[in-house]
Amino acid sequence: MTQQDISAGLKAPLPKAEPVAASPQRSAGRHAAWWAFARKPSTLVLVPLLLAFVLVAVFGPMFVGSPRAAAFPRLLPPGGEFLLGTDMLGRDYLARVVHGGRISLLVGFSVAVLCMTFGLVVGGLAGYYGGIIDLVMVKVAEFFQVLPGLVLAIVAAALLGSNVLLIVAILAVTMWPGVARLVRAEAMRISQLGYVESARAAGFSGLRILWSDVIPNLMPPVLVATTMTVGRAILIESGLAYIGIGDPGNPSWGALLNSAQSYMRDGWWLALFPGLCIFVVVLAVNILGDSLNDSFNPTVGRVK
Amino acid sequence: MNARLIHYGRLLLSSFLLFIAVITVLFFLLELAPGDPAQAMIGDMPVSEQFREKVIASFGLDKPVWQRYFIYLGNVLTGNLGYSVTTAEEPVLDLILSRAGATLALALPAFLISTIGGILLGSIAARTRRPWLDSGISGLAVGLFSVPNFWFGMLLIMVFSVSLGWFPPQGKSAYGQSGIGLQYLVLPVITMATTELAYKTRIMRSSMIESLSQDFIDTARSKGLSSRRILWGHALPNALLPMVTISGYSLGTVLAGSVLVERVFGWPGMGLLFVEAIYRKNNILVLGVVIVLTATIIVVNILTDIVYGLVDPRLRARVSPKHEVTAA
Amino acid sequence: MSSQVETTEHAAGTPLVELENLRVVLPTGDRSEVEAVRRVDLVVRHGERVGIVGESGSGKSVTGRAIAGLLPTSPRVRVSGSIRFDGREMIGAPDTAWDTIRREHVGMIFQDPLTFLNPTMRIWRQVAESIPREREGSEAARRQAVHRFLRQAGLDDAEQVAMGFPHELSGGMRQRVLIAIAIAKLPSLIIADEPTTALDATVQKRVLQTLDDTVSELRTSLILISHDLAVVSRMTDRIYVMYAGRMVEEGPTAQVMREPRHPYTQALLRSVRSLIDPDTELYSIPPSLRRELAAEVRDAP
Repeated sequence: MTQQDISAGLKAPLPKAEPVAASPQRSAGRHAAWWAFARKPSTLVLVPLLLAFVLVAVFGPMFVGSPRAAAFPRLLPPGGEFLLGTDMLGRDYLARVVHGGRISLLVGFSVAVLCMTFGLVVGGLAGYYGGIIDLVMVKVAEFFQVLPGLVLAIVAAALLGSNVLLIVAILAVTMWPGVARLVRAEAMRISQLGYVESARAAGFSGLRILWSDVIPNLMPPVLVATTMTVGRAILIESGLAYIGIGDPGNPSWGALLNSAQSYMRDGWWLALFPGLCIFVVVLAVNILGDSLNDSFNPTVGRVK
Repeated sequence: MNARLIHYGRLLLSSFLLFIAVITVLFFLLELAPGDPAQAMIGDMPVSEQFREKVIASFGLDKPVWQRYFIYLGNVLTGNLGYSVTTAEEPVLDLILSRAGATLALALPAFLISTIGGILLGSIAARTRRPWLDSGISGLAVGLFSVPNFWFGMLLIMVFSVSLGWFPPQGKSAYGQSGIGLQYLVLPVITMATTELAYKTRIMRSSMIESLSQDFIDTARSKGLSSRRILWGHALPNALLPMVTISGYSLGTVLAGSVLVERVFGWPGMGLLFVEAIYRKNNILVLGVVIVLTATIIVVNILTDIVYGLVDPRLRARVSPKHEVTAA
Repeated sequence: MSSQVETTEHAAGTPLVELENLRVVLPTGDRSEVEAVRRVDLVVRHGERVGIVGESGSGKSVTGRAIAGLLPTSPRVRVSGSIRFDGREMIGAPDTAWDTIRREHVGMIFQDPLTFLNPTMRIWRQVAESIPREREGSEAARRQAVHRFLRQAGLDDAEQVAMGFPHELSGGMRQRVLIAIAIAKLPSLIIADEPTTALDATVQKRVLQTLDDTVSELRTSLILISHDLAVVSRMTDRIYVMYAGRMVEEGPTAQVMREPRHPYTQALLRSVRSLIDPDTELYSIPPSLRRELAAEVRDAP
C-alpha cells in the first residue's frame, strides 16, 4: 500500500497530458538496473576476473608447456621452475591445469548457452500460451527432479561412452528445464500485465507481443538463471570427471582431482589447484548472478 | 475430504507414471549402448556361461525390443533388478540394500544439520540489524554453495587428517571392525552437509525477508507486539512453509551427492558401490542403483507433500469458506 | 448516519493527537526517496471523528501510519516536525513509548483483510494478541474476551470464527476481524486506512455501519482515511483534504462539502457528483488544474 502511494506520489505532481505507455518506462527501468549492476564493486572485480580465466583458457595453452610430457621429476611441490609443481608422472602441473580449464569452462558455458536458448524458447512459449507446451514442460521438469542430472549423466556416459560433446548434450538436457521453469513463471507474470493485455486487445499478433514486449522483460531473470547454470554445470561436470567420466586425453579440472585422490598425502598441490580454480570460477559466476538479481529485483532496504 | 483424496490419488498416480518414465528412459539408454543386449547388461567382465544364461533368461534378452521392455519393466516393479556381474552374482537389489545403511548414516545427519543450520543462519541473516552479520552469513553461504563438495572433502582430509591427524582419512571404521566409528563419521558428514547448508541458508534468508515484508506483519506491529514475538510467532512460521518443500527435495540431492562424497572418503555405501560399478562397467548394478535412488526420491516427495498438506492451514481446510452471515 | 461530537472535559483541553509541521521522507529505491508528507498540521480531539481524504499517493496513509508509529523501520525513513499524543511529544521518544502507544492507545484497521491477517494463525489468537496481558490473565478469560470483541465487530458466530483461519472467512468477515483486533485493546484512537476499499459495495455499507457503531459504543476517536469522499463525508465531524503530501483544505465536514474553497476539493466534489448524478457529465481533474496544483506544491515553503 505504501509502495503504491509512493510511486504514485512520484508521478502525481507532474502534469500528465497523455497516458503514459508502460513499455518505455520499463525499458528506462531496465537501463537503470544495468547501470546499477555495472557499478557494483563486485561486478567490477569479478567480470575482469572471469574474462582473465577465459583468456587463459583460450590462449593459455599456447604459452605453457605440454600437459602430457612426462619429462620432469615427479611430485615436485610448487615453486621455482614449476609454478604449480609436477604431478605423479612428472608432468608440468601448470600446463595441465591450464589445459584443464579449457574443458571445464567450455562445458560450463556451452551448457549454459544451450539451456538459455531452450529455456527461453520453451519457457517463454509455455508461460505465454500455456496449454500443451506448458504441461509437457512441467512434466519434463518433474522428471529431472526425480532423476538427478548428475546421476542420469553418469548413467548415460557409462552406457554411451564419455566424450565432451556427449557430456555437454546430457548436461544441457538435464538442466534446461530448470531455466525453463523460471522463464515460464516470469512469462506468465508478464503476460498478465496491463500493457500486454492492451496490446492483445489492440490486435497485435501473439508472436509480435512475445518479441517486443515479453522477451525483453524476460531477459533479466533469464540472464540470472543462465549465470547460475554456468556454475552448476561446471560443478556437475567436475563431479562427473572426478568419477572418471570424461575424455581421458583431455582431462578437465575434475579429472585432475580424480588423479589427485590418491596423492592427498604426498602431493597436496595436486588436489588444491584444480579445485581452487573450480571454486573461484563458480564463486565469481554465482556472485555475479546474485548481483544481477539484486539489480533487477531490488528490495527497498529491509522495511518493517 | 473428497478433494484431498483426489489430490493424493493424483499424486500417487503421477508418481507411479514418473517412475515408469524413468525406467523407460533407462531402458532406452541401455538399448542405445553398443553391443547386443546381453553385452550391454553384462558389460566387459568375463562371466560364466551359466550366469549369462541366467541373465538372458531372466530379462528375455533374446526377444524383440518391445517384449524386452515389458519384461524389464515387470522385473523392476517386482524387485528383480538383475544380478551383479562382479560381486558373486548377487541379486542387485539385495546388494544395494545392504549398503544403504552406510549411506543413510551419512545422509541423515547431513540432512538434519543442513536443515536446522540453514533455518537458523537464514533467519539470523534476514532479521539482524547488524549488516555485517548478514553480509557475513550470506557471503559464507554463497561461498560454500560454490565449492565442489568433493574437493571440499579432500581439503578437509588434507588439513584435518593428514596434517593435524584429528580424524581418520578414509573408511567407516577401523580395520577389521564392523559398524561405524564415530570419528569416521565427522569429516564425511561435514562434507555432505556443507553445500546443502549453504543452499538452505540462502533459501531461508530470502523466505524470511519475504515473510517479514508481508502485510500481516504490519498488523502484528500495530498490536504493539515485541520484535521477538513478531519474529518467532508471525514471520518464522510463514517463512518455514517453503522450507518444508525445499527440505524434501534436498534429501534427494543429498543422496545423489553421496556418490561423490563416498568416493572421497572410501565410504562403503551405495554411492561407492555405484562408482565402482561404473568403473567396472557393471551396468546392471549401475541401473539398479539409479532405480533405487529414483524410487527413494519419489517416496520422499510424496511424504513431503503429505507433510506440507498437514502444515499449511490453507490446505487443511475441510470446510468451504463461510459467507457473510451477519449484519451489523 | 450522523456522528456525534462529544464535548467532554477533554475537548476543551489537550487534543488527543496533534501533528505540527509533520514531514515524512521515505526511500523509494536504491538511491531515491520521496517526501511523502510535507508540512502537515492535523488535530484530533478526544471523541472526535476526523477524515483524511485524498487520492493514491497523497500521503494520507503515510500520515496515518506516522501517528500509529507504523512507518517502515528502515534507517532511511526520516520524520521531522511534531507528533503529540495527549500532549506528549512522540518524535524522538524512546521505542518503549511508541510500544505503549501501539499496544494500548491506537488501534489500526488496514485495507486488505486478506493480506493483513496471518494465514497460519487461528483467528482467536490474532485477536487475543491485541488484548494486553494485564487486562485478562487466564487463557479462558482471554478467549471469552475475544468472542466478545468478535461479536461486537458484528460476527455473531464468534466461537466458530475464532477457531478458524483467515482463508476460511469471506472478505467482509475478515475485515470485521481486523476491527475486532483494533478494538480489543480498547484504544483511545482508531485509525482506519481505507477499511472498505477491498470489499464489495454491499458489504462495504454493512462493515462501515459496524465501524460507526463500535466507534460510538467505545467512544474512541476516529481517523478515517479514504479516497472515497462519500464514505468519509458520512462518518466524520471534520475533514482534511490532502494532495501530494500537503494538506490543502480542512474544516467541519458539512461545511467543506457544501462550500469547498480549494480548487482541488472542488474538483474532487465535482467528479464524485458526476459519478452519482446521471445528468452531470463525467468529470475528471483537468491537466491545467494539475499543473496549478503541482506548482503550488512545489513552490510552497
